[in-house]
Amino acid sequence: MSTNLHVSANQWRMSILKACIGAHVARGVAEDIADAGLALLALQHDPLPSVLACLNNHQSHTSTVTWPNGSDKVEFGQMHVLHHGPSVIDLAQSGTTISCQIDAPDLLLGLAQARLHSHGVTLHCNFDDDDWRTPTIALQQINAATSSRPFSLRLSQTDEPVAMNMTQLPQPSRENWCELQDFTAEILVPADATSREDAGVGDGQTDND
Amino acid sequence: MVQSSSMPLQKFEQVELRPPSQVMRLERAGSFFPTRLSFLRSLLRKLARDGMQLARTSFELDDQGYGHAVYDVVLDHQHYALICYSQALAPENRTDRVIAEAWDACFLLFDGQPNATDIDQLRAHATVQEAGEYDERVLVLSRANKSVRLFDHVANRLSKGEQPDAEMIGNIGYLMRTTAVYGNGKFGMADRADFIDRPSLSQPFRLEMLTVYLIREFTLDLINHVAKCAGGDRFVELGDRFRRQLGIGNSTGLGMAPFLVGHPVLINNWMLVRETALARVRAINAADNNCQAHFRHLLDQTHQHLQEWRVDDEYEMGRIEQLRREFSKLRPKFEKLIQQGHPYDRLIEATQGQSSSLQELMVSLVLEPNGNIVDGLCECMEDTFGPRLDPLMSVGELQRLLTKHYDWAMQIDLSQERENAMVWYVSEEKLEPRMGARSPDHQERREMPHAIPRKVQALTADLANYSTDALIAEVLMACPQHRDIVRRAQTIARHPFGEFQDNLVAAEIRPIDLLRCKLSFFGASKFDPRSDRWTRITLYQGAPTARELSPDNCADVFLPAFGTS
Repeated sequence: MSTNLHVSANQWRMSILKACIGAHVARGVAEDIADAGLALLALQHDPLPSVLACLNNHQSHTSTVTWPNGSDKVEFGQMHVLHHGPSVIDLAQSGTTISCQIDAPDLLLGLAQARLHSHGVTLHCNFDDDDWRTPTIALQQINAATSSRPFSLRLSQTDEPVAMNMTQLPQPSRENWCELQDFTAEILVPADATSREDAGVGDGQTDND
Repeated sequence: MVQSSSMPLQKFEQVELRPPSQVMRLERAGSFFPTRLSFLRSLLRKLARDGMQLARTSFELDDQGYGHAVYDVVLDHQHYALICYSQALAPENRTDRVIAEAWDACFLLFDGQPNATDIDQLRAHATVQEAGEYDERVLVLSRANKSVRLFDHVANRLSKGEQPDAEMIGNIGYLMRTTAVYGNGKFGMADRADFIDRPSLSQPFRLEMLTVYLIREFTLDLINHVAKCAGGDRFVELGDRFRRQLGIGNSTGLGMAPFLVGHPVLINNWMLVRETALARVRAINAADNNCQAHFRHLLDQTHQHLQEWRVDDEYEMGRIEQLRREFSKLRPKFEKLIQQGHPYDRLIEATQGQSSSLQELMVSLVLEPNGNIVDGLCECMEDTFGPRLDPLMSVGELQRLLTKHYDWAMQIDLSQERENAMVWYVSEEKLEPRMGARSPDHQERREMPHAIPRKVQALTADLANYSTDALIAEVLMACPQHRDIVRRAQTIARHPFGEFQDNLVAAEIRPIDLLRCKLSFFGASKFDPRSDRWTRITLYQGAPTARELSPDNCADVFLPAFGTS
């Protein structure tokens, strides 16, 4: 076997999901972030640096999101993807145009792309330049300058879901992958945290494995 | 049913489906028997139909049976190879627990034909199982331990030129039992997405079932090899009758249970196929002579199977004894009903009021003679969609579907301590799901999301604060903690057989019911619970071995019964 780390799509998804939960992200949000990760992988984009940055900052974040006022365009302030990224996608899917500054534009684009795969919803975005792009194009154009600019998202069309190609995925660096595993470890429970009988310890026989 | 565009869609009559409120109860699911829709059954039909090409391309074992072997099989012009590593194992290290670190044999299902370098390099990883590193060339990873008592007995007898003791073969039923069969991207192996477009592999757990079937072939070759090395000229091969009666054992624990909770669409599809098959069969007006004869043969086989099915667990043995009594009492009636109009519907009705074990045994029985109208449903058992969130649903609509599909959850009194007594979590030691008593300081984020009634009731309470016209998108922005249960509830509204209607964290929960349900879909039999949390089973016991498998005998794999084979 090669000495390089090989991470499957299933491992990608489960590790991002568990890491988010380990960092106190609500499970349902974590599920969407994991799907966003897969959508980015299908676009040959490694989501791990953004996920790790979000998770490292997550504890200190407080939400500054304003409540939608019912108009067809909603202005958010600073928006943190791990808190509200999936909900922003929900609202954009309802036809509301969202404008905000976000901490992880590539993850939000991944969420938009994932909604294309799961629901057949095509969303477009711009970086405060009135040039509406698909998530795929926007992802290619992301740089330090665009990341700091206001980000707008709107519904473009609804069609049949588009299948992802999950073969030949980009692979993470071993360092990043190990850092992600540190977050997943947060949800693990030592066997003797519950009764030892439940944990299968005692007569050496399987009881809970 | 999946049909090619050139084939006319065949329509089947069917009666009304049994409702999820009847089917999706743990006590019932924990009474399931394998059916002809089970994954190993559909695999055997596929292998037989295609004329299975199996070749043993390497067999480098010493006199003790240690070394490696490779089996090459072709499915739809694609080669797959089971690589087997057999090694010495000290008795004190032989344990079925998932935390074991050494095994009698380790296996890889390889995508293609491995060369000598592959086989050599993979050995270091396969023999440490979860601690190894794998890539997309590896499809399935497994390991097995010998049933030492039976293995030594059979090897000894064959080496002396004698066949083994029939009763011992029947009672134990396998030479090796697997303790894990991993697939779908675990440890870096190939994802299902990597091979889902291959027509032979779209059905759930097909590669895992193929792996176990090939492991069985290896164990049969291994026992002959070891006996021959020991006995020399006196050695005789294991007889065909015994070869067929030896399946593969398996020890399964809690790790399997969360799968059923985490894949609601997939489970819905399995259940819906099973219930649709039953509904089709119940609509049949009359059984022809062949079907009647087949059914009577199945009754004989079932009677024999029940007599031979013995377990140590007192609770389970009590259920088996009750099933024997009910079956024997009603059997004369069954033999009459098969000759009457709407025979299968009458047979199902005849079991109402009896144990759920007899009711579900009858489901398996009535499907058996009717492969022509149910086997095609096996093409509908995968999940190509997964759960979906509908953020544009109104609060009022979500409230209505919660009332319709989760009334059972709303009726549970969560103020009772017993309804929240257990917690499902992931163990630090082996990253495996476990269940234990809830402690006051348990952190919610460390709990697996199996407390469905608690989530449903919390969601319902918060929805009351919103206008019925409000969008779910707005609710979830304010209450992200409900996102998973909203997605689940909306999914269940479309896939109502995807949710077990019991509280999985209640004090009286029996995880073994979940295990048996899933294992029945695999095709497992001889359920042998060792507690309410793990069970031994056998796979392929009584099934044709590779060298005898044919379209004529591939369907003759109902419940193993030594006395009638």
